[in-house]
Amino acid sequence: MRTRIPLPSFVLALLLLPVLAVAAEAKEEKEAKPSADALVRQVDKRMSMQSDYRGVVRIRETRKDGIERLIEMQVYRRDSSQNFLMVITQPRNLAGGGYLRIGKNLWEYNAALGHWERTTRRANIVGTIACEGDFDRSRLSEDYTAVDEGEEVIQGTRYRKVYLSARPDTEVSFAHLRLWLDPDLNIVKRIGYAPSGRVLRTDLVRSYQKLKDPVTQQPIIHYREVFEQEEEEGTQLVVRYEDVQLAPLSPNLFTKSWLEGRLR
Amino acid sequence: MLFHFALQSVRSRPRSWLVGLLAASMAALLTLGLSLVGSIYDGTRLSMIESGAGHLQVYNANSAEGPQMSLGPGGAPEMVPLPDYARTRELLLGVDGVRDVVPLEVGTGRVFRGNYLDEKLAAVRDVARAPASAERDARLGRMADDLRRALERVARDSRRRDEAFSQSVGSEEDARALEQALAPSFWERFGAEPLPVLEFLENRVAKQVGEGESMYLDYVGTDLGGFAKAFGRFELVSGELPPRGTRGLLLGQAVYERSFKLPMAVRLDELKRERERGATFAGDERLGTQVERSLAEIPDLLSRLDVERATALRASLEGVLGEPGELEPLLEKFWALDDGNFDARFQAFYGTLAPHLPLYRVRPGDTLVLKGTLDNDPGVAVKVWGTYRFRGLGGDGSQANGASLLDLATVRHLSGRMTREQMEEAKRLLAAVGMDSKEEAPSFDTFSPPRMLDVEPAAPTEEAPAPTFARASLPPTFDAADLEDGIFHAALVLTPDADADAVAERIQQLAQAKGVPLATADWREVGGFVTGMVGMTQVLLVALGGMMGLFVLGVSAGTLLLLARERVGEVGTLRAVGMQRRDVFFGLMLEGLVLGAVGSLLGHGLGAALLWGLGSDGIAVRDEALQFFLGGAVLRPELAAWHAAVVSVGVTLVVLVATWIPAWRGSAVTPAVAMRLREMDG
Repeated sequence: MRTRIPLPSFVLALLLLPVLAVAAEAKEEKEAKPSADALVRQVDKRMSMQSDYRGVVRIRETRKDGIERLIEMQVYRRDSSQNFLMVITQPRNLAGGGYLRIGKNLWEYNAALGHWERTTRRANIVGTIACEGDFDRSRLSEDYTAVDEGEEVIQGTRYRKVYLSARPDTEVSFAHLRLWLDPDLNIVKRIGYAPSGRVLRTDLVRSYQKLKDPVTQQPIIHYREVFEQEEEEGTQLVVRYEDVQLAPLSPNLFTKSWLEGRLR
Repeated sequence: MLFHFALQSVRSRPRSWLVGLLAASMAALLTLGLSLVGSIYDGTRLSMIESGAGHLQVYNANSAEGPQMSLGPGGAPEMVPLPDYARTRELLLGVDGVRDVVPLEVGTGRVFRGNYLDEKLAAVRDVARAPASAERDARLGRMADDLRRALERVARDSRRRDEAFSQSVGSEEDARALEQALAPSFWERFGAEPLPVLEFLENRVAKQVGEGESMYLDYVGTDLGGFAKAFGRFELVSGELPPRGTRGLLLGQAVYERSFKLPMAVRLDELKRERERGATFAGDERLGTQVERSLAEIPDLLSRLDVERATALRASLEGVLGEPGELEPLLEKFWALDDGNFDARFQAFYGTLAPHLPLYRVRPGDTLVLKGTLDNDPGVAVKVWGTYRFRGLGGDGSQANGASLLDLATVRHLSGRMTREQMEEAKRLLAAVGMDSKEEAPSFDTFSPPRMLDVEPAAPTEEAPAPTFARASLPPTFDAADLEDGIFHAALVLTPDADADAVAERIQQLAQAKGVPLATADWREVGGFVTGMVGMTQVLLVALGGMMGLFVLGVSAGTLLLLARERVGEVGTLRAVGMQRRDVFFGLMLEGLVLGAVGSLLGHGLGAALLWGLGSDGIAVRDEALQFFLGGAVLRPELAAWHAAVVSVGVTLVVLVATWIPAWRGSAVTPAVAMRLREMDG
């Protein structure tokens, strides 16, 4: 027996069909669009590595009065144990100094004085506007909670804007961050804020480098060149990350004795 | 005749004397106020000029801001260095009235001090790094014993803390680290491998006793020898002046006593001063609070004492208190101060105990690490050559003795300004790594996605030797000629007979003639908040004078209006016998003038007598913060002739204004009205 569909129901179904289709699409889109926290976790993941890391960081600092200087540092990281070491190699008057993080302690070594001093991740390093966190592994999802601020189209590219606030009891350089992420989830622009909401520093990532983690064989991305501008004094930095080596490092490297041994 | 009429009226109406009394009170108060404000102005001027500011300061006219001797929250002013300092100095010394030219640069530095464990561990690290020898090992052994005792105290404090507060995950980790550090096997390892053991303590244990502390140090960068010679009140309290061309720091005696002295000794001094002002332990709770704060610091003091000092201190305390005991209870007993034992304990502290205590953090001859105010400043080591004060500009708490003197080479390093050599090195390095091309700052509003480079990681070079570097400390000596392109301002000390304004005028003419961009500023312009304070006292005096004037004006006008009403009949009679309204008006005004003039002169006399009575030998000012503004520890109020003129004329004018309306209304009475009113009254 054939069931006959009444005409009014048929018309209603026809009318509702596009509405249901749009709703289904919206739901799908919503499901496809990850949350802000998930986005930030993705950013961290794309930049994290199992391998030990060694690289050279070169910073060109240009002050408001036009005076320029170059600082060169060797950065050593063991992300698996969160150890971090930075040795300043240029200029001559700072060479041999550096920063060493073991567990929760971040130490600053003043080569001219032969002094160790405990410092914090909040502090700037080597007399510049850069911070230890700029050179360490990406841990945005551990240190911050994220809020999605929607999208912004700039020069034809759609960027996701995410606003991050430091979690309680975390030690970070900026109490708040605002990130602009491109469709591949690369950080393109980053603004660091004080707890009051005052802008402290604005960064623009000009280029990334693609690497392969030799331990996991997974592709990773790493900064190549970042432009940074401090708000109050107008000091500008161009930071280049070069000569990256992903290979095991000596276990004796992350010790005060090793850094002290760099001085003749 | 009018004057006679006015005098008669005043004499016959004692109620009108109230106006004179008010005028006298106002004049007396204004005399005292003017004298006090004048003393503050003169005292501050003297303190400023003779404590380093000089009569005038000269700076580059192209600077955006002028020099400042005390920096506000905005930091150092934006200034351009003086053009060719050596030549500028020669030019200035040739100006009539200029006796000395002293280069200056004012700034604020920071001194960091780690917690006591950080300090102990750093000391042990220094010894551990020395070449191996029997003597070194013996010293390390003693230090290890000391360290172990300190750690036992840390563990005990930690247990007490855990009993009082709930534990976090971090504190469990800390407790495990402490437990490990107190195990005998840990110290056996120390003998064989001291550095890894120290590293464990530095990373896992030291932070448990605090973060350490930073203190700020205001300094005046200068040629130390030239400064001491140019400012006659300069005197060394301890140590010596550094030889010419040698870097060094002279600490202001005020900052040395306040910030470098053992806190409990500072409090003992404060208690003595309070008691000399009449405070007692029985009657003043603040004294007891000071004692409690000192008691709370005993564990920190004990942790900073080495074995030898602790033993000697204990023996001294046993002698002072007359009973044996452990060091901590003995110290607690010593600090149980009251009105009966304070003087004896004070004497015992400085006479017997102080030699065994770290009374000052630094002594002349020690090296101090100074940092700039920014937290990223790498710092510079500088030798403390001594302490100094300005004679006669207040005690050791006076602001005049609050700034320290620092050589210009160290100041330049602290300010972060690069030397010519460093700038050349920077240029060379930038070129070598291909980062020397000039580029426009990118737009933060219109940007494109970053470039993605496929980079082959560099081949591992594990076998490459680790880089080594030569230590590049700032040398202890410097060549003054290297600093002459970076002098920002200079103090001019004038000859005693020179007029500062005239000298400034001559400098301007010289600068124009020679085409040198020079500008001058006097002590008021360079005084910063100090000048602001003096200005505030002047504003307060004007405000006080204004309020008193309004009060006198109102009350006098009311009194005189009432009197004018009572004199309706008298005025009507005078008008009836032919006196013109104008004459009556002037007669009444003349009464006001007499009351105002006599009152103000009497009041001024009273004020002058009070000042003379109070301050013929000067008034001792105990508050050391005030001493700077009064030019020393004694206030000598002085009266100038213009004070008398200003007070007399000002007060008389106020009374005259108050008389105006009563005189006008009083003189408007016609004989008919006067008669009618008299009939009505009758």
